[in-house]
Amino acid sequence: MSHYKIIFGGPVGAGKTTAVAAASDIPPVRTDAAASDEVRSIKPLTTVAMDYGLMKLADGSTIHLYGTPGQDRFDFMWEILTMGGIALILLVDNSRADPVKDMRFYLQAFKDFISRTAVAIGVTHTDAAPLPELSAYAQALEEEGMSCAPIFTVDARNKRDICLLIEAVLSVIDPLARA
Amino acid sequence: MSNTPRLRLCHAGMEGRSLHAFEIFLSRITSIEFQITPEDQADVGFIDLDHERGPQLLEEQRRLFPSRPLIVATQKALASNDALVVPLGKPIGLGAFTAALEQVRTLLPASWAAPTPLEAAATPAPAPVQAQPAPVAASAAPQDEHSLMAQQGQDSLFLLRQQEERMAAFYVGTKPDIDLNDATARVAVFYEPANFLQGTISRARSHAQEIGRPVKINDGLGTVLYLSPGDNHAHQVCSNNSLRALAQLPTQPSVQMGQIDHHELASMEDFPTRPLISLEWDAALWASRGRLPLGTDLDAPVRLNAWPDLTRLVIPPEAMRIAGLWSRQRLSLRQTLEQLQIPQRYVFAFYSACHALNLVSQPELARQTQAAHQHPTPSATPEPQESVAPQQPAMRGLFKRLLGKLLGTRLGEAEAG
Ligand SMILES: Nc1nc2c(ncn2[C@@H]2O[C@H](COP(=O)(O)OP(=O)(O)OP(=O)(O)O)[C@@H](O)[C@H]2O)c(=O)[nH]1
Ligand SMILES: [Mg+2]
Repeated sequence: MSHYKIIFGGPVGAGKTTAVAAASDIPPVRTDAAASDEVRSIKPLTTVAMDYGLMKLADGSTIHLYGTPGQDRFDFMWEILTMGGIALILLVDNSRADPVKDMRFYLQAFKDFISRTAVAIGVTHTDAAPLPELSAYAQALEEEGMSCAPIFTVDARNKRDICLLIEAVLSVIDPLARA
Repeated sequence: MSNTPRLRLCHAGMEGRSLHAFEIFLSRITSIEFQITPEDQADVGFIDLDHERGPQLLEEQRRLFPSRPLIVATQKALASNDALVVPLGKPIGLGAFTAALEQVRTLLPASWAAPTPLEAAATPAPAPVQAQPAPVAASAAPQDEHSLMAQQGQDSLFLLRQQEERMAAFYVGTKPDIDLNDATARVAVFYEPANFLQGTISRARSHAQEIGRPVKINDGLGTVLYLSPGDNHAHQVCSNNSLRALAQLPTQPSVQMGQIDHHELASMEDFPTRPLISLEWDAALWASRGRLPLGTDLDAPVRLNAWPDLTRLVIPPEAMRIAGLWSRQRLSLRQTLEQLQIPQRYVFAFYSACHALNLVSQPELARQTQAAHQHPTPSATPEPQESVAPQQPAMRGLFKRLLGKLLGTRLGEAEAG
């Protein structure tokens, strides 16, 4: 059976673990541990290796969902986790100090993977921090020559939002595929 | 017998014992004439929000019948700023239920007994559906579990498509395709946004931003909208129903923007608020009804400047695939239709809504009109990703199944894929 993977990336606390859980048909496998360093001021638990979830399709095939750890010191996992992936869902936390810069950082970090596949960006925590607006991200994407990347306001806890991000990234990879 | 017509009520989220109890309960209400009808004929819906699928049912009803008032019963406090939702605390008393029905009657359009053509289009008899259910495999061999699952998937996918089609009619109308090579017929695919509420809203927004104060939009009967430039929100005074009716027809001279006084500045806060961008998006869809803004060139390449925020805006039919295609390649509207093989109104409505928010443009057309006789200049902005080789069939099949499942989640229905 084929192993198709969708990768969730982005900074600490953006909602990667939450998004994988929202879209998964099985209880997700988490590898969160108590945050011991500078992350603790942001959140008590952080992902140290990866998150794993699964979407089951009618014919028995599956899509694997992988969440990457957000902390830079685990970035050796990123390359391993993206191997064989078909798309990147990049989540950015709007309540962080400079979320647009975060987005640029992760687009750069996953550059090779994105050039082989496609990316959709979800801006989270807009309920807590409504600014910057989506147009600020669109401007940055334009400057990166990536104005065609789908970017939506999402709440990582909301299954519909996460599924729409997945739908968008699939539409970019193969617009002719239809349900 | 009063000459008010009977109220037609449908219900969701009740089965078995609770449904039986509900029927007995309803039989005690005598002061208001009403009857239980199927979902597609009702004036008002009733939902038990405490049902395990309650929130989903509510969302589904909202999407399918956006202009229909709903009585929503729950044990919890219901925080809803939806003007068409009448909350009802539990345990439900006869008096409270009767009062809710009374309130619902005031929310119905004046013409509710005889649906106007617009209403009929909004909650239509099932519109023609493009996708056909896959024929059942005529194999005598017993189906294995997977093919059975796949068949069930096909069936529910068919239902999902029907549901999507009905929603589509609400936003993009039902205009059939025309021969785009026929110059006379082609005139009918264009509309002038300035002549619709869409244009009034756009002018009012610009004006409000200029003067740094909210402005209002009136129709013949009074104020329908307040636009607040500071927080990019609109306060909607009229019902969704009348807003849509107003937005679909060319504006009458009585529709005008106006200044607001101090008194109104405070009172406008009482009306339900929504992001200005979603108001402009809806108004464009309603004005367009599957047509294109005047001046659009069917053969000039379309540039997608940015994706619309499709988690927070209404998703017009096939919007994802159209945007996906424009993300890969700069195609004309005509080429888009050829590639995707979907109704013209889907592509035109999506283009119009994106155009209203400045998300699409036709840069080459602009250059041509600016300097009709100059040599063509190279494109200033980088082209989108080259179109890659078609996906391998294995991947295409997987995508189709995954998309079926995602459509199910999107429409809040049982999973299809
Ligand atoms: N208010 C709000 N909370 C959110 C949103 N998205 C996610 N969260 C919450 O944010 C917190 C952090 O989410 P996680 O899923 O742990 O974040 P993560 O990206 O996996 O973080 P690391 O594993 O540490 O990199 C959780 O409590 C989520 O419920 C949102 O849009 N709004
Ligand atoms: Mg995590």
